[in-house]
Amino acid sequence: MPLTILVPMILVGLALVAVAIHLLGLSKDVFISTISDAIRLLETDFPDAIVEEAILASNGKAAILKLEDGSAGLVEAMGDRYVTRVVARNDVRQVERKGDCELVLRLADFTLPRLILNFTEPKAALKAATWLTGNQNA
Amino acid sequence: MPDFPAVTQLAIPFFIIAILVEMLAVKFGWGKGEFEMKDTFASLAMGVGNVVMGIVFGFISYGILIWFWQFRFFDLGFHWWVGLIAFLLDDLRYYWYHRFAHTIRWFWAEHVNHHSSQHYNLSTALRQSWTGHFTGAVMLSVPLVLLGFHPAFTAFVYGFNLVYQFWIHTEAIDKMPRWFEAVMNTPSHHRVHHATNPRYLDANYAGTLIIWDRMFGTFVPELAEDPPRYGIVRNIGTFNPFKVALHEWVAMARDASQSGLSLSQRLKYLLMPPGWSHDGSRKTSSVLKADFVRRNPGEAGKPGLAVTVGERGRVPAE
Repeated sequence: MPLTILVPMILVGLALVAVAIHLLGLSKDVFISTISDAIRLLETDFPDAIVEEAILASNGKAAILKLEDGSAGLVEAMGDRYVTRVVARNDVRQVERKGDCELVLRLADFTLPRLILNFTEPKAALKAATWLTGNQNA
Repeated sequence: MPDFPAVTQLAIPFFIIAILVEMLAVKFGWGKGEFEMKDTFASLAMGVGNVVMGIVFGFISYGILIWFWQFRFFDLGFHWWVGLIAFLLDDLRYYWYHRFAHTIRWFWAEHVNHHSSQHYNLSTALRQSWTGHFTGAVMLSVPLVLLGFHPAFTAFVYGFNLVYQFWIHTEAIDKMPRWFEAVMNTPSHHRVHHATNPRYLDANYAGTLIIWDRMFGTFVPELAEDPPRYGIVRNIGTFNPFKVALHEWVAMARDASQSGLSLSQRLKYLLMPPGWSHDGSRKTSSVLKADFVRRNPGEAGKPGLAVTVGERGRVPAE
């Protein structure tokens, strides 16, 4: 098919889909409202994970979980779905504390390289950093 | 030789209209389904990229097949019945390509992006590979060429196969009539294929005819009590189409280039099933199935699952 037909056809198609999604209001964001939601979401993908403790991010878009084997669990809301990870210490490239309540997490993960976690209190941020790094002074 | 049209490109208006109709069906409750803006655009971007890669690099695959054409045993021409036979044999070729694409990581790296959406709607059908011309999978078409099916003819009939596979990417259609479900690939059968529930992993590889899965023992029916969860075992955390297209290639390269591995281990990172690791720290589909049976002994022996706890084999449905 000539590009002079193919390209406009694709562009018109993309535009129509964009308009339709917008007008129909089909997109929705999801949140992690409770600790038990976070645990359920992680255990769906990692049924053998044993969760000891969990903290929710203040915006309800992420959660970090302490696992029995010493690794950490992550749950992130992405659009209307969730992404989960079990991260061992060597999966964590850097945990940077910004202010009292924010953690910037850098992972050795091509599709999830960076995660910003905000917590309601400094104690939670410190605890989460400790779970991720094993370092009490993180 | 007839001038064969590019079937999938001609079908683009149909694809768009069908997606719009599915959106309306979801919105007004006429059919089941979910859409998410970024996910849909990632899928469409993958589709556009696939068309671009076909235009730019399609000559590689076609050139290889044309080279083999000189060694053909027969020349079957371009009759309609030759096209029908070509379609059936190419559908069998597709079954094996697809099975390899799920069980050999080299091919999985190319194919995984089609499974990377956690949604299952018609836009997911367009989430196609950008790297298919570089894997060597085209060699699976060589037997057809040697049998006398011209490469342009097989490419033409394969276009119909791909167009057929579009409409089965939907939750809006529950089950088709029984006779149809028995012979043809359907939305129900293909939902199973896109699911990450352990029983559904590595099942229903068919393109058009589900009979290949029934023949080769990879058929698993959709169960109402275990609704499919879509995506991949380790879901990706991005909508960036470049990362969607390349993430498994990057992961495979990282794994194979780790320090301290033998040559055999490096090759196994390319050729063993997805989830294989040299130290056993990850899980393949068969291990995930066995783990599921260990946790749910009552499920042992059901379609897609091993007979006994610890057995890593598959039990065909029929």
